[in-house]
Amino acid sequence: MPLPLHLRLPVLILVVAIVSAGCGGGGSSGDGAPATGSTPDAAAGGGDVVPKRSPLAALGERIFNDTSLSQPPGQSCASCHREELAHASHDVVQAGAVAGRHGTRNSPSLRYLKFSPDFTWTADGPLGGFFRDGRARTLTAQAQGPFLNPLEMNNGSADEVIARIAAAPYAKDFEAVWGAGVLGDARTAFDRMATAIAAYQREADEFAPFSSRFDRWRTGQGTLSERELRGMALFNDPAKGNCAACHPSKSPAPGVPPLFTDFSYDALGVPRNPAIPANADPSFHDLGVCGPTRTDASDPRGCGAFKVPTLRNIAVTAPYFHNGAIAMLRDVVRFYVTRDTDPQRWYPTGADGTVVKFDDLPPAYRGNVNTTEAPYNRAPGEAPALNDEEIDLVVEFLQTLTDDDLR
Amino acid sequence: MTLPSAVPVPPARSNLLHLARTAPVATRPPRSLLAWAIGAMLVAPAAHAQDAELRARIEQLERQVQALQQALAQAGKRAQEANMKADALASQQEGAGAAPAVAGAATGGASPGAPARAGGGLLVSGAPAAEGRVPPPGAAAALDGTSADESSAVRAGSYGAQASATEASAGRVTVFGYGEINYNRPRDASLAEVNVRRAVIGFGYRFDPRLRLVSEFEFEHAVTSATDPGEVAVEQLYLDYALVPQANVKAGLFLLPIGLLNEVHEPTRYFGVERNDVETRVIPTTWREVGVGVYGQFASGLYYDVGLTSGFNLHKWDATEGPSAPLASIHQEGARASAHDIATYAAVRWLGVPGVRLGTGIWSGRATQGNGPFRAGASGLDLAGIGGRVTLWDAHAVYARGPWDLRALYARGRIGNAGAIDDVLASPAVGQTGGFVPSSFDGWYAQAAYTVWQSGGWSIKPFARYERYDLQRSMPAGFESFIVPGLRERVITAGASVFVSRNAVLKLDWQRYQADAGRDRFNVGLGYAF
Repeated sequence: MPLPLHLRLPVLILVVAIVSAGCGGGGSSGDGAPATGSTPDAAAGGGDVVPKRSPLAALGERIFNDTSLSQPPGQSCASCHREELAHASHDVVQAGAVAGRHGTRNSPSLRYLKFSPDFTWTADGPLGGFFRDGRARTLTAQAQGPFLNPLEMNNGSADEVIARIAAAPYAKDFEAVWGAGVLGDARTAFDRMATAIAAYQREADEFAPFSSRFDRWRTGQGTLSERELRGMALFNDPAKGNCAACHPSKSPAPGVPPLFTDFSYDALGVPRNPAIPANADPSFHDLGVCGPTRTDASDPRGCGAFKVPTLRNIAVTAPYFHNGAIAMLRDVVRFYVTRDTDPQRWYPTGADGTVVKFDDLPPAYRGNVNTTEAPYNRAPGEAPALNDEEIDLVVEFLQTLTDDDLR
Repeated sequence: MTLPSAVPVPPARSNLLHLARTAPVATRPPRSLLAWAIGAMLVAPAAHAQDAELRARIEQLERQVQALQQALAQAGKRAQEANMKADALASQQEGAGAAPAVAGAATGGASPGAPARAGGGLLVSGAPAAEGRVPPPGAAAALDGTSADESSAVRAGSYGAQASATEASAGRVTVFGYGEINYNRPRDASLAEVNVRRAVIGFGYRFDPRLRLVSEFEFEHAVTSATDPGEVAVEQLYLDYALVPQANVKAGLFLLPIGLLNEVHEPTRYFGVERNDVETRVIPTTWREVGVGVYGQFASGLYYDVGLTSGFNLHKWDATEGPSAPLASIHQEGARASAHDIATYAAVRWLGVPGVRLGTGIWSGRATQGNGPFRAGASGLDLAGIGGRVTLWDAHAVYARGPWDLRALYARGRIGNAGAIDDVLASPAVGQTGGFVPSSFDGWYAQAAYTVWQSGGWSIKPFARYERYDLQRSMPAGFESFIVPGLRERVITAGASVFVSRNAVLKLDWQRYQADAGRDRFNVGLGYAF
């Protein structure tokens, strides 16, 4: 039976609409997040695996790996943040572009750094930020620092950096992203360069793969051994390792896996490392948040405090701490639990025969060192919070935090 | 001998009212018989002369009372006629999703959309319920899912007329509400979600025939707590004063007259389980500001609404949410809103033919708020010296006659100085690597619906809608490369509204997103309004 006349048109509209809605396909499957998605260039580039990059992030990657951007040429961001080492370095401190120069701190891993909040002062002290002393408020600001640091890439000015980029093969890509002529304005272009590097760090999966055995266990796709689980329990136990107090093993927010840092700062009193050239000068003290590298935070309560790093990939990022003073992961865990029960194990003995605890800090700031929380809250001679077997278990657990590409 | 001090003394002049009060001296208790006698002798001649004058005056007053009664009866009749006209006009406009029938309201007119609800709903005190109203002729012909006799706009329009005719309505409280429960099932069914999208309750209070309060309170996503997604909001809170039929003043937190949905957003009054994208991502429905406005309608069918309001706050720009809904991410909703910048708006509509509406509206105001949020430490964006004027305008047309309901709308927004704002966002101090502010964004849609079956309160209305929008219509110089494909979208929505009562609806539809197929979904919704 034919449809009544007055019904034909609306029914036709409906049918056409539904058919139209049901047909077709393709289109991107992105979530509308800004500045993401495959670039046409990347898609046309061939190869087995095409990285998913925005034009901005692709530009950032090229800058990140460009060794022509130092003075003299030869050093790039990647020189000190090697992907195969979790974007960190095995050197205690990195040699600079200028022969004979060295930095004063161990290169931190850049992995999972994008989750760090911008730097702020809170009621509990400093939080977030970049570099080990948080002197860069944002990831973008951090990206500018090494280019102009005489101990690192040693450019004299932003103009110098931009002149090198203008001569680089990707200069046209730079202007394609940021507009024609942008390289003629060095100050703006230097900011835009840093934005590109930060975008690369945020977008590229390799900076946050979440591919560890721990991640698979957490998502039900893998297992951990009984010893590793015992190690995790000790890691979390407030009366034992209490590591999770600063390195939380729980998800910080819906959709974000555990990051093993709370982005706070702490003074640990790590022993002085004579392997750092700058330490040849006994008057040199790296005081972290209160200088001397950082120049804008003079609150003496921050002296000796450094940013709490993620423990993801900790097994492959030796040496440890800001000054690379401890080379082995097992010794790091041992340091935490015996620093106060057996200090002579870690610190030198003075002329009067007493142990000089926290010897990398001037005496005036040694009171800033955290001695109240477990596992520090013990006196010499007491049993450490973890015995040797338990230290081994914690280390075994920490080894489950290594991303797949590094194992 | 001493005369009593209370002896009445005739008035020195012939003041009737005074005389009326003093004339019946005999009724006053004399202090003594002698005093009474003396008093009577003194006032008797004058009282006699004034009695005739008093009687004449009383007769005159009686005639005036009679005339007033007749005038009142005629006024009541005229008011009733006006009420019927208001109903008829409102039902036409209701079909067009238009402003309520303020023209028919001698006083106490209602602003479009929700303000109308203040006059409707459940009567909880005051005058007799519904004031004996009957549905106007053709009420059942309202096409957008509401019944003309019960729909909020009609209630409001008629309310004004009733209120003008009888002071019995003064002081009455009304309650109204609407709600919707939605089920969304995308292609990836693991992301399917059911949600008590919103439950809204509102109160209206009429202080007198001219002045009324409109309030509306919204609960979204069922549960609100620190760990739940819900939200509680005051959506409207304003006073409305009727000056003359062509001019009403509103002041407080009210909805802006931009677009079709913003003022009329009950689930029974739009097609589709979810509100259309153009009127949520381009026009930030439900968009309200604190301000003052004047509105009214002329007999020609011309409706206007103009005023001054608070505005947006670009310091709230969010790199994640901002690009996908530029204005929704920076609206302030009267919540301790930065108010350095005052915006202006104007809207006009032609409602001259029943069921037809042609309208346009524009809103414009700076949105950097004098950089106050940065100086106060509430924002990390130093937008000093950047005006950041936001302008949003729309044009729309509705044809709602017979079984058809056809609508089309275009809206466009512009953010001035977007390049300067993006420079700040991209600076190392802020460190944003994407999600920059667009210079302009726009979108349009066309929608057709048809009542295929109707019986009593039941009806079935299939519909189809095509939307096209570009939330990055233009990016400022230097930021042109930050175009995200998913923000340039075309959406087809097809489905039906099944009304099981005039104010309760079951909706089903399918949505197809051309650029981002991951958003394709099937939706089912339950909605009501009273």
